[in-house]
Amino acid sequence: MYNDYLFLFMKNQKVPTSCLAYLVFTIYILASLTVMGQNTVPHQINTKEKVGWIPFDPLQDDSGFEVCDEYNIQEYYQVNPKYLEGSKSIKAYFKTANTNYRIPSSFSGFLTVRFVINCQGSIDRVRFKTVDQSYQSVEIKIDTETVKKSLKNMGKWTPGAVDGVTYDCYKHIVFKVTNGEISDIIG
Amino acid sequence: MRIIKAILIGSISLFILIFLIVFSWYQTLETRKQAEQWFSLSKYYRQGNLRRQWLMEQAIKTDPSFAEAYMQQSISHNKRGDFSTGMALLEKAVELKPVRYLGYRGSVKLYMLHDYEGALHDFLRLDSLTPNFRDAPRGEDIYQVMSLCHEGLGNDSLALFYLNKAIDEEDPQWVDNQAYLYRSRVQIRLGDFERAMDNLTHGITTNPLADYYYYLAYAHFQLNNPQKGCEYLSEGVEQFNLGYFRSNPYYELPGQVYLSDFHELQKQYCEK
Repeated sequence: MYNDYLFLFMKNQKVPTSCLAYLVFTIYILASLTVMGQNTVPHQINTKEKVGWIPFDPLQDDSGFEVCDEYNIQEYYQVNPKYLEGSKSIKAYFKTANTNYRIPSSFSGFLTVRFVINCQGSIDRVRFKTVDQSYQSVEIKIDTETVKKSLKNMGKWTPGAVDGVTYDCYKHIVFKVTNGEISDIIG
Repeated sequence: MRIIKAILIGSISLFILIFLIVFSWYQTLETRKQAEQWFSLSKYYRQGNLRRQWLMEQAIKTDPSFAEAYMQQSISHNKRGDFSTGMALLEKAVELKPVRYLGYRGSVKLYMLHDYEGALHDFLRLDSLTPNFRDAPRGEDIYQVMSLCHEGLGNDSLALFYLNKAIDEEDPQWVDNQAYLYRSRVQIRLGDFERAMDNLTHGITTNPLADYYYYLAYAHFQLNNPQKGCEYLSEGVEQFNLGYFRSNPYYELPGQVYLSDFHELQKQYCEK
């Protein structure tokens, strides 16, 4: 059918309205797919329908911490939140901060700390995941309160923003651990 | 009322008819084709959407040997720092199609986790599986990423060996401009400032990024040539402010420079 309409165009015959509608629809679908393919720009997906959603937990989260839009929390790579200059500043901060997280000396692997940066640049809803060097999930006892404290003491972040609009977003920092010592920070 | 009823019954009948046609057609497909249908449906949802993940799960359930579905499912977990889930899925993809996914997994380990040993292991295995073929994990020369692993492991001579392979053994038009930057950084550490400057100058001619100017200035300072160094720093700051510098939304790039790096050198060498 599509080819028939194209043929009509080529023959310079009267083009039916449905043909134009069909073309507009095709262009719209193609344009939508192009935008959908881009992951590094903000998109509204209901936050609760996303991988890695962190719901508010009254037992561990600050009730005074507010997000601008609970249903539209972006990922860091979509809106680029920043702590001062970025990764360099994060590393510099943790070099001087209290990082005595009481990580067992027997542990080598990765400690991932994921949190929400709200549209004002404050941090909360901190969650932890640890994997060993083979990326197997492991439960280790660490001083999560000190980790949270050191994160909160960082102060304000520049919230994620695109085209002048600020967003709440998720961000994570990976602490590479070798025999209980933090050997690298990837943030 | 009768019209509404007729439309309703008509719509339901049409829906059932379409469903039956699609279902019968689906049943005629081979297992892989069935899985591909689930997989292609998943593409209508954004990366990280739970419905997308569910559709990919259905693809895997339909055909557990569908490597691409495992790999695609792993992406949003790894990007969000859930490496136990992400890497387990990626492990499955690599198991099924090592040549296709070893390079990608190596890159995830290298850039997102700084697991230089693990990444190097993947790249070496990939290289051994494809004799007489130059692999390019995620579009980067395999020897270039192998050099970054060695650099991370503190082995500069091996890093230089692989960078030489990445640059000198490749058609110049295919060499990644960043390779010159990486080679110059290793050469600077090894004290070979002249060669480092040649690489950086070459890099600037094709892509005048602030990063090249920074390392060029640094090399000049090491050679006791502060005047030239300060000139390059100023040019670098200019380029930086124009937005010409390397960055990545997912992770910090190896040897990435920041505006404060320029200011620190300026303070040390140029403000006297």
